[in-house]
Amino acid sequence: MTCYLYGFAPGTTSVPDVRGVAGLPVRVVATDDLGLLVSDLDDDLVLDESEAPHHLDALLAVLDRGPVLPVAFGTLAPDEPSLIADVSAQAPALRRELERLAEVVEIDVTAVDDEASAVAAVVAGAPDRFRPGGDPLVLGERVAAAVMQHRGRVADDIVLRLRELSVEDTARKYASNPEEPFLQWAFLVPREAVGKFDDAVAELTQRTPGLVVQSVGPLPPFSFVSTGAVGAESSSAVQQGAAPAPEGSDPFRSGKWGW
Amino acid sequence: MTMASSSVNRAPRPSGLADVLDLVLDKGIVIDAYVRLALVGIEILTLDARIVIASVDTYLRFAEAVNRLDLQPNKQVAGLPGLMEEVTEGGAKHKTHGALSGVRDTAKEIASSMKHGDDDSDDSDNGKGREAPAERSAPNDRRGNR
Repeated sequence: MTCYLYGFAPGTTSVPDVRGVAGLPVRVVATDDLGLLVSDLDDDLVLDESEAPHHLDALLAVLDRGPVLPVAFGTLAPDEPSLIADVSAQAPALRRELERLAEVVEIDVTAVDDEASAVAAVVAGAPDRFRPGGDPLVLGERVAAAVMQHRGRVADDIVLRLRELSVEDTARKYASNPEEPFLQWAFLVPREAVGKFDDAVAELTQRTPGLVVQSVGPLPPFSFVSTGAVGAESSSAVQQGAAPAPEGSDPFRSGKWGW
Repeated sequence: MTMASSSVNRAPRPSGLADVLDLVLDKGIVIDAYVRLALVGIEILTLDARIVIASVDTYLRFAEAVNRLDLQPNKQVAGLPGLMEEVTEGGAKHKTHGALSGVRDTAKEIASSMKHGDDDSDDSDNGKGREAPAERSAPNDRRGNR
């Protein structure tokens, strides 16, 4: 029986009343003062990306009650005994990480602006550079680059302000083109400061016409859990970018179970 | 990510599947095991295609935004030449619309049309680029629509 692993919580965590991937119940396996959040999976059950929300929901239910360390979506252990054995070796590091993240939650912030205002702002700054005429693709590309720069400065302001209310922050993604939100940033916010954080986000939106700053959370600290602490032996090839195991091959034989 | 919801409302969780995947797929503790996700590759390819298409579209939209900025004060003196240009562009739009929607589907073809667009821009810098080959349909089409 395969174990699907959602994350780690303190050993005293009670079972959240929530269905996990494939509609399965989530249970807590307590070991070494750690609670392992798992579901039992039939060996031949194939999960796909549509299960991702259930992975998140299970973690959110636990986060509601206390700290949780999220594990990346799609992580499977061959069975419960091997999972417990592997976790035991890393239990101290995981407990330290749980303590470090006990009183904080992740809040993800995105920012978009009103495109017309952004274009007007950059053109007003250097009208000679943006004369209409010629190839619209060339002009558009030049304007787009300037708009991205302009947005970078706005993004800096937002991050600096919100950083005052968080204990840590990190970029989730840098916009690679002007269609994406120009700010996608994660903040680690003390639970009791979430209200203040909300106020600051609202204030940022009101301060600049056309600017919309949005936040999502509280989330498990996906962007902040230190994988290094528990991944001493892990090879970089395991990152999600690596090719998934070919269909039909037995991942438990070809893969390496360990941290 | 609806614009309508004001910033005061913090969403409790990401809404769309893509946003959820963004959060849970390559973040969190990664364990040296096996990630059994047959569909991940497909998702990533789809995103790439969307980005290529977006950039052509975006550049043209930005150019159009600049044109609008600049045209406002000059509107009264635009006169007949300006009018003529509009008409020409309108004609081109109708002629090339079908061809454009035909290629829109594949990122590869959009990308190659971008490349042609660049070549063209070099030409027009030398002053000979005004009559548009098929690939130039994109600018005219977008301008007509917006």
